[in-house]
Amino acid sequence: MDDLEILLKKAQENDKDAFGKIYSLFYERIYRYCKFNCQNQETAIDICQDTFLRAWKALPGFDTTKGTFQAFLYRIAKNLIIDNSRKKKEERLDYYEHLETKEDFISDIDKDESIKKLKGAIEQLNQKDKQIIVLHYFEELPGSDIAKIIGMHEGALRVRTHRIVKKLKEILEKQI
Amino acid sequence: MNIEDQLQNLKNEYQGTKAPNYLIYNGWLELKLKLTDRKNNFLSAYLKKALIFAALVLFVLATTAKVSQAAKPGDKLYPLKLATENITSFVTGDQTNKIENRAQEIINLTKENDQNLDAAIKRYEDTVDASKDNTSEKNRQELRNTLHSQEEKLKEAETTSPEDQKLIERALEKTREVQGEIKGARDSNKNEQEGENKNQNSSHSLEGD
Repeated sequence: MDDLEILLKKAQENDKDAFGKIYSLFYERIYRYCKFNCQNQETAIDICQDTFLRAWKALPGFDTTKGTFQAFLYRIAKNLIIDNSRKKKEERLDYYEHLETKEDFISDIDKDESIKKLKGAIEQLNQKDKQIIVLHYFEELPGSDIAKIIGMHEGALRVRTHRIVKKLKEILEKQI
Repeated sequence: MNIEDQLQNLKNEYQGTKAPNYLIYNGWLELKLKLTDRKNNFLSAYLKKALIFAALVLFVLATTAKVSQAAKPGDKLYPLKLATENITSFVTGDQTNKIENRAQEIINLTKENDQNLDAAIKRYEDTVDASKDNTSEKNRQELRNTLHSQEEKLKEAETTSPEDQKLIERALEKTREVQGEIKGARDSNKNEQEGENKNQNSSHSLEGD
Protein backbone atom coordinates (compact mmCIF):
# COMPACT_ATOMS: atom_id res chain seq x y z
CA MET A 1 0.00 0.00 0.00
CA ASP A 2 1.58 3.34 -1.05
CA ASP A 3 1.39 6.64 0.89
CA LEU A 4 -1.59 7.95 -1.03
CA GLU A 5 -3.54 4.78 -0.44
CA ILE A 6 -2.84 4.98 3.30
CA LEU A 7 -3.95 8.63 3.34
CA LEU A 8 -7.08 7.77 1.37
CA LYS A 9 -7.97 4.98 3.76
CA LYS A 10 -7.59 7.33 6.72
CA ALA A 11 -9.59 10.07 4.98
CA GLN A 12 -12.34 7.57 4.22
CA GLU A 13 -12.47 6.92 7.96
CA ASN A 14 -13.11 10.62 8.61
CA ASP A 15 -9.49 11.72 9.19
CA LYS A 16 -9.46 15.37 8.11
CA ASP A 17 -5.70 15.78 8.56
CA ALA A 18 -5.08 12.92 6.15
CA PHE A 19 -7.39 14.65 3.69
CA GLY A 20 -5.37 17.82 4.23
CA LYS A 21 -2.25 15.99 3.05
CA ILE A 22 -4.13 14.72 0.00
CA TYR A 23 -5.26 18.30 -0.65
CA SER A 24 -1.65 19.54 -0.55
CA LEU A 25 -0.68 16.87 -3.11
CA PHE A 26 -3.35 17.79 -5.64
CA TYR A 27 -4.64 21.33 -5.15
CA GLU A 28 -2.13 22.98 -7.48
CA ARG A 29 -2.89 20.64 -10.38
CA ILE A 30 -6.64 20.93 -9.87
CA TYR A 31 -6.34 24.72 -9.68
CA ARG A 32 -4.40 25.05 -12.95
CA TYR A 33 -6.90 22.70 -14.64
CA CYS A 34 -9.75 24.91 -13.42
CA LYS A 35 -7.90 28.09 -14.31
CA PHE A 36 -7.27 26.99 -17.89
CA ASN A 37 -10.92 26.06 -18.32
CA CYS A 38 -12.45 29.11 -16.61
CA GLN A 39 -9.88 31.80 -17.42
CA ASN A 40 -10.88 33.52 -14.21
CA GLN A 41 -8.88 33.24 -11.02
CA GLU A 42 -11.78 33.69 -8.60
CA THR A 43 -13.93 31.09 -10.35
CA ALA A 44 -10.98 28.70 -10.59
CA ILE A 45 -10.36 28.98 -6.82
CA ASP A 46 -14.05 28.39 -6.08
CA ILE A 47 -14.26 25.34 -8.35
CA CYS A 48 -10.99 23.96 -6.99
CA GLN A 49 -12.23 24.23 -3.40
CA ASP A 50 -15.63 22.82 -4.34
CA THR A 51 -13.92 19.87 -6.04
CA PHE A 52 -12.20 18.90 -2.78
CA LEU A 53 -15.36 19.50 -0.76
CA ARG A 54 -17.30 17.12 -3.00
CA ALA A 55 -14.44 14.63 -3.01
CA TRP A 56 -14.55 14.59 0.80
CA LYS A 57 -18.29 13.86 0.78
CA ALA A 58 -18.01 11.18 -1.89
CA LEU A 59 -14.83 9.59 -0.52
CA PRO A 60 -16.53 6.74 1.41
CA GLY A 61 -17.92 5.49 -1.90
CA PHE A 62 -14.55 5.73 -3.69
CA ASP A 63 -13.10 2.34 -4.61
CA THR A 64 -9.40 2.16 -5.58
CA THR A 65 -10.04 -0.96 -7.63
CA LYS A 66 -12.36 0.96 -9.94
CA GLY A 67 -10.00 3.80 -10.82
CA THR A 68 -7.30 6.10 -9.56
CA PHE A 69 -7.90 8.90 -7.09
CA GLN A 70 -6.65 11.52 -9.57
CA ALA A 71 -9.24 10.32 -12.11
CA PHE A 72 -11.88 10.59 -9.36
CA LEU A 73 -10.76 14.14 -8.54
CA TYR A 74 -10.49 15.36 -12.14
CA ARG A 75 -13.90 13.90 -12.92
CA ILE A 76 -15.47 15.98 -10.13
CA ALA A 77 -13.58 19.08 -11.32
CA LYS A 78 -14.61 18.48 -14.95
CA ASN A 79 -18.30 18.19 -13.97
CA LEU A 80 -18.10 21.41 -11.94
CA ILE A 81 -16.38 23.21 -14.83
CA ILE A 82 -19.09 22.09 -17.25
CA ASP A 83 -21.83 23.11 -14.79
CA ASN A 84 -20.17 26.48 -14.40
CA SER A 85 -19.80 27.03 -18.14
CA ARG A 86 -23.50 26.21 -18.63
CA LYS A 87 -24.50 28.67 -15.94
CA LYS A 88 -22.28 31.39 -17.25
CA LYS A 89 -22.55 31.15 -21.00
CA GLU A 90 -22.80 34.89 -21.18
CA GLU A 91 -19.54 35.21 -19.30
CA ARG A 92 -17.94 32.89 -21.84
CA LEU A 93 -18.87 35.38 -24.53
CA ASP A 94 -17.23 38.03 -22.42
CA TYR A 95 -14.17 35.83 -22.33
CA TYR A 96 -13.65 36.04 -26.09
CA GLU A 97 -13.78 39.80 -25.76
CA HIS A 98 -11.54 39.56 -22.74
CA LEU A 99 -8.94 37.73 -24.86
CA GLU A 100 -8.56 40.83 -26.89
CA THR A 101 -7.96 43.19 -23.96
CA LYS A 102 -4.81 45.21 -23.99
CA GLU A 103 -3.21 43.47 -21.03
CA ASP A 104 -3.62 39.99 -22.50
CA PHE A 105 -2.64 41.16 -25.90
CA ILE A 106 0.70 42.47 -24.68
CA SER A 107 1.44 39.37 -22.60
CA ASP A 108 0.50 37.12 -25.51
CA ILE A 109 2.89 38.94 -27.82
CA ASP A 110 5.54 38.45 -25.22
CA LYS A 111 4.90 34.73 -25.02
CA ASP A 112 4.03 33.46 -28.40
CA GLU A 113 1.52 34.36 -31.05
CA SER A 114 1.05 30.70 -31.89
CA ILE A 115 0.07 29.88 -28.29
CA LYS A 116 -2.59 32.56 -28.42
CA LYS A 117 -3.96 31.15 -31.65
CA LEU A 118 -3.96 27.62 -30.28
CA LYS A 119 -5.78 28.77 -27.14
CA GLY A 120 -8.40 30.39 -29.34
CA ALA A 121 -8.72 27.18 -31.38
CA ILE A 122 -9.12 25.06 -28.23
CA GLU A 123 -11.82 27.46 -27.03
CA GLN A 124 -13.76 26.70 -30.20
CA LEU A 125 -13.92 22.99 -29.36
CA ASN A 126 -16.87 21.57 -27.44
CA GLN A 127 -16.42 20.94 -23.72
CA LYS A 128 -15.70 17.21 -24.07
CA ASP A 129 -13.03 17.67 -26.76
CA LYS A 130 -11.46 20.52 -24.84
CA GLN A 131 -11.17 18.36 -21.72
CA ILE A 132 -9.59 15.53 -23.72
CA ILE A 133 -6.90 17.87 -25.08
CA VAL A 134 -6.18 19.38 -21.67
CA LEU A 135 -6.05 16.07 -19.84
CA HIS A 136 -4.04 14.29 -22.55
CA TYR A 137 -1.52 16.93 -23.64
CA PHE A 138 -1.25 19.28 -20.65
CA GLU A 139 -2.00 17.14 -17.61
CA GLU A 140 -0.46 14.08 -19.31
CA LEU A 141 -2.83 11.69 -17.57
CA PRO A 142 -2.83 8.04 -18.68
CA GLY A 143 -5.49 7.04 -21.21
CA SER A 144 -7.26 4.81 -18.69
CA ASP A 145 -7.73 7.79 -16.33
CA ILE A 146 -8.94 10.13 -19.09
CA ALA A 147 -11.38 7.47 -20.28
CA LYS A 148 -12.82 7.30 -16.74
CA ILE A 149 -13.01 11.10 -16.36
CA ILE A 150 -14.67 11.65 -19.73
CA GLY A 151 -16.78 8.48 -19.63
CA MET A 152 -15.50 6.75 -22.79
CA HIS A 153 -13.77 3.53 -23.74
CA GLU A 154 -10.00 3.83 -24.12
CA GLY A 155 -10.08 2.74 -27.76
CA ALA A 156 -12.72 5.31 -28.67
CA LEU A 157 -10.74 7.93 -26.77
CA ARG A 158 -7.60 7.31 -28.87
CA VAL A 159 -9.58 7.72 -32.08
CA ARG A 160 -11.29 10.85 -30.78
CA THR A 161 -7.98 12.41 -29.69
CA HIS A 162 -6.62 12.03 -33.25
CA ARG A 163 -9.76 13.61 -34.67
CA ILE A 164 -9.59 16.54 -32.26
CA VAL A 165 -5.98 17.27 -33.18
CA LYS A 166 -6.98 17.14 -36.85
CA LYS A 167 -9.82 19.54 -36.11
CA LEU A 168 -7.46 21.90 -34.28
CA LYS A 169 -5.16 21.90 -37.32
CA GLU A 170 -8.07 22.81 -39.55
CA ILE A 171 -9.12 25.66 -37.26
CA LEU A 172 -5.57 27.01 -37.17
CA GLU A 173 -5.19 26.71 -40.95
CA LYS A 174 -8.39 28.70 -41.44
CA GLN A 175 -6.96 31.45 -39.25
CA ILE A 176 -3.95 31.71 -41.57
CA MET B 1 5.37 25.25 -36.54
CA ASN B 2 3.41 22.03 -36.47
CA ILE B 3 0.50 21.36 -34.12
CA GLU B 4 2.46 19.02 -31.87
CA ASP B 5 5.05 21.74 -31.21
CA GLN B 6 2.34 24.29 -30.60
CA LEU B 7 0.66 21.94 -28.09
CA GLN B 8 4.03 21.42 -26.41
CA ASN B 9 4.48 25.19 -26.04
CA LEU B 10 1.01 25.61 -24.60
CA LYS B 11 1.69 22.70 -22.24
CA ASN B 12 4.76 24.50 -20.91
CA GLU B 13 2.70 27.59 -20.29
CA TYR B 14 -0.12 25.54 -18.75
CA GLN B 15 2.20 23.68 -16.39
CA GLY B 16 3.80 26.95 -15.40
CA THR B 17 0.50 28.14 -13.93
CA LYS B 18 1.02 28.65 -10.21
CA ALA B 19 -1.67 28.61 -7.57
CA PRO B 20 -2.44 32.07 -6.15
CA ASN B 21 -1.17 32.90 -2.67
CA TYR B 22 -4.67 32.83 -1.29
CA LEU B 23 -4.99 29.15 -2.18
CA ILE B 24 -1.46 28.31 -0.98
CA TYR B 25 -1.87 29.89 2.46
CA ASN B 26 -5.61 29.76 3.13
CA GLY B 27 -6.96 27.06 0.83
CA TRP B 28 -6.78 24.16 3.24
CA LEU B 29 -7.76 26.22 6.31
CA GLU B 30 -10.86 27.49 4.53
CA LEU B 31 -11.73 24.04 3.24
CA LYS B 32 -11.19 22.32 6.59
CA LEU B 33 -13.86 24.53 8.17
CA LYS B 34 -16.33 23.42 5.53
CA LEU B 35 -15.67 19.68 5.91
CA THR B 36 -18.60 18.17 7.73
CA ASP B 37 -18.23 15.28 10.12
CA ARG B 38 -19.02 12.40 7.85
CA LYS B 39 -19.78 9.61 10.32
CA ASN B 40 -23.52 10.32 10.44
CA ASN B 41 -23.66 11.02 6.72
CA PHE B 42 -21.84 7.76 6.10
CA LEU B 43 -24.44 5.81 8.13
CA SER B 44 -27.39 7.60 6.65
CA ALA B 45 -26.02 7.01 3.13
CA TYR B 46 -25.92 3.28 3.85
CA LEU B 47 -29.37 3.40 5.43
CA LYS B 48 -30.69 5.20 2.36
CA LYS B 49 -29.16 2.60 0.06
CA ALA B 50 -30.59 -0.23 2.19
CA LEU B 51 -34.06 1.34 2.16
CA ILE B 52 -33.97 1.87 -1.60
CA PHE B 53 -32.83 -1.71 -2.07
CA ALA B 54 -35.58 -3.05 0.23
CA ALA B 55 -38.20 -0.98 -1.63
CA LEU B 56 -36.94 -2.32 -4.96
CA VAL B 57 -37.02 -5.92 -3.73
CA LEU B 58 -40.56 -5.41 -2.40
CA PHE B 59 -41.64 -3.85 -5.67
CA VAL B 60 -40.19 -6.73 -7.71
CA LEU B 61 -41.75 -9.32 -5.40
CA ALA B 62 -45.15 -7.62 -5.43
CA THR B 63 -45.09 -7.27 -9.23
CA THR B 64 -44.05 -10.89 -9.73
CA ALA B 65 -46.73 -12.09 -7.28
CA LYS B 66 -49.33 -10.00 -9.09
CA VAL B 67 -48.25 -11.31 -12.51
CA SER B 68 -48.19 -14.88 -11.17
CA GLN B 69 -51.93 -14.68 -10.39
CA ALA B 70 -52.60 -15.15 -14.11
CA ALA B 71 -50.36 -18.25 -14.30
CA LYS B 72 -51.86 -21.56 -15.41
CA PRO B 73 -50.83 -25.05 -14.21
CA GLY B 74 -47.55 -25.91 -15.93
CA ASP B 75 -46.42 -22.29 -16.16
CA LYS B 76 -43.12 -21.26 -14.55
CA LEU B 77 -44.86 -18.78 -12.25
CA TYR B 78 -47.55 -21.24 -11.19
CA PRO B 79 -45.72 -22.43 -8.01
CA LEU B 80 -45.44 -18.77 -7.00
CA LYS B 81 -49.17 -18.36 -7.47
CA LEU B 82 -49.79 -21.33 -5.14
CA ALA B 83 -47.32 -19.96 -2.58
CA THR B 84 -49.00 -16.53 -2.64
CA GLU B 85 -52.40 -18.15 -2.12
CA ASN B 86 -51.08 -20.23 0.76
CA ILE B 87 -49.73 -17.12 2.47
CA THR B 88 -53.01 -15.24 1.94
CA SER B 89 -55.15 -18.10 3.23
CA PHE B 90 -52.83 -18.55 6.22
CA VAL B 91 -53.11 -14.88 7.13
CA THR B 92 -56.86 -14.51 6.53
CA GLY B 93 -57.89 -18.05 7.54
CA ASP B 94 -60.02 -18.19 4.39
CA GLN B 95 -59.65 -21.41 2.36
CA THR B 96 -62.51 -20.80 -0.06
CA ASN B 97 -60.48 -18.65 -2.44
CA LYS B 98 -58.02 -21.51 -3.02
CA ILE B 99 -60.84 -23.97 -3.75
CA GLU B 100 -62.50 -21.57 -6.17
CA ASN B 101 -59.21 -20.99 -8.00
CA ARG B 102 -58.43 -24.73 -8.32
CA ALA B 103 -61.96 -25.45 -9.59
CA GLN B 104 -61.70 -22.60 -12.08
CA GLU B 105 -58.41 -24.01 -13.32
CA ILE B 106 -60.10 -27.38 -13.98
CA ILE B 107 -62.87 -25.65 -15.94
CA ASN B 108 -60.35 -23.60 -17.97
CA LEU B 109 -58.22 -26.67 -18.74
CA THR B 110 -61.22 -28.68 -19.97
CA LYS B 111 -61.98 -25.85 -22.39
CA GLU B 112 -58.39 -25.88 -23.68
CA ASN B 113 -58.03 -29.72 -23.74
CA ASP B 114 -54.87 -29.26 -21.68
CA GLN B 115 -52.73 -32.23 -20.64
CA ASN B 116 -52.35 -30.79 -17.17
CA LEU B 117 -55.99 -31.58 -16.32
CA ASP B 118 -55.18 -34.75 -14.37
CA ALA B 119 -52.63 -32.92 -12.22
CA ALA B 120 -55.07 -30.03 -11.74
CA ILE B 121 -57.77 -32.40 -10.46
CA LYS B 122 -55.29 -34.01 -8.05
CA ARG B 123 -54.41 -30.52 -6.81
CA TYR B 124 -58.10 -29.67 -6.40
CA GLU B 125 -58.65 -32.86 -4.37
CA ASP B 126 -55.70 -32.08 -2.12
CA THR B 127 -56.86 -28.46 -1.64
CA VAL B 128 -60.38 -29.53 -0.72
CA ASP B 129 -59.05 -32.15 1.70
CA ALA B 130 -56.69 -29.69 3.35
CA SER B 131 -59.32 -26.97 3.59
CA LYS B 132 -61.54 -29.29 5.63
CA ASP B 133 -58.82 -29.54 8.28
CA ASN B 134 -57.72 -25.91 8.10
CA THR B 135 -61.15 -24.32 8.42
CA SER B 136 -62.45 -23.31 11.83
CA GLU B 137 -65.87 -24.42 13.08
CA LYS B 138 -67.16 -20.91 12.51
CA ASN B 139 -66.30 -20.92 8.79
CA ARG B 140 -67.45 -24.45 8.01
CA GLN B 141 -70.81 -23.33 6.65
CA GLU B 142 -69.10 -20.89 4.29
CA LEU B 143 -66.80 -23.71 3.14
CA ARG B 144 -69.78 -25.94 2.51
CA ASN B 145 -71.48 -23.21 0.45
CA THR B 146 -68.29 -22.77 -1.59
CA LEU B 147 -68.03 -26.49 -2.21
CA HIS B 148 -71.66 -26.55 -3.25
CA SER B 149 -71.18 -23.78 -5.81
CA GLN B 150 -68.03 -25.51 -7.15
CA GLU B 151 -70.02 -28.71 -7.52
CA GLU B 152 -72.49 -26.84 -9.73
CA LYS B 153 -69.72 -25.34 -11.84
CA LEU B 154 -67.96 -28.70 -12.26
CA LYS B 155 -71.23 -30.36 -13.28
CA GLU B 156 -71.64 -27.72 -15.97
CA ALA B 157 -68.07 -28.35 -17.15
CA GLU B 158 -68.83 -32.07 -17.30
CA THR B 159 -71.70 -31.45 -19.71
CA THR B 160 -69.70 -29.10 -21.95
CA SER B 161 -66.64 -31.42 -22.04
CA PRO B 162 -67.97 -35.00 -22.02
CA GLU B 163 -64.50 -36.37 -22.98
CA ASP B 164 -63.20 -35.26 -19.58
CA GLN B 165 -66.20 -36.65 -17.71
CA LYS B 166 -64.24 -39.37 -15.89
CA LEU B 167 -61.67 -36.95 -14.57
CA ILE B 168 -64.18 -34.28 -13.56
CA GLU B 169 -66.22 -36.95 -11.79
CA ARG B 170 -63.24 -37.50 -9.47
CA ALA B 171 -63.31 -33.84 -8.49
CA LEU B 172 -67.07 -33.97 -8.00
CA GLU B 173 -66.79 -37.04 -5.77
CA LYS B 174 -64.24 -35.35 -3.57
CA THR B 175 -66.44 -32.22 -3.37
CA ARG B 176 -69.45 -34.25 -2.29
CA GLU B 177 -67.38 -36.34 0.13
CA VAL B 178 -66.06 -33.30 1.98
CA GLN B 179 -69.46 -31.62 1.95
CA GLY B 180 -70.84 -34.79 3.53
CA GLU B 181 -68.07 -34.89 6.12
CA ILE B 182 -68.72 -31.27 7.09
CA LYS B 183 -72.45 -31.94 7.31
CA GLY B 184 -71.85 -35.16 9.30
CA ALA B 185 -69.55 -33.41 11.71
CA ARG B 186 -72.04 -30.60 12.15
CA ASP B 187 -74.91 -33.06 12.73
CA SER B 188 -72.93 -35.07 15.28
CA ASN B 189 -72.01 -31.82 17.07
CA LYS B 190 -75.66 -30.87 17.06
CA ASN B 191 -76.68 -34.31 18.43
CA GLU B 192 -74.01 -34.10 21.11
CA GLN B 193 -75.25 -30.68 22.14
CA GLU B 194 -78.88 -31.86 22.18
CA GLY B 195 -77.84 -34.88 24.27
CA GLU B 196 -76.05 -32.63 26.73
CA ASN B 197 -79.11 -30.36 26.96
CA LYS B 198 -81.36 -33.38 27.59
CA ASN B 199 -79.07 -34.66 30.33
CA GLN B 200 -79.04 -31.25 31.96
CA ASN B 201 -82.86 -31.05 31.80
CA SER B 202 -83.29 -34.54 33.29
CA SER B 203 -80.87 -33.81 36.13
CA HIS B 204 -82.77 -30.59 36.85
CA SER B 205 -86.08 -32.52 37.00
CA LEU B 206 -84.55 -35.13 39.32
CA GLU B 207 -83.33 -32.37 41.64
CA GLY B 208 -86.89 -30.92 41.57
CA ASP B 209 -88.34 -34.29 42.61
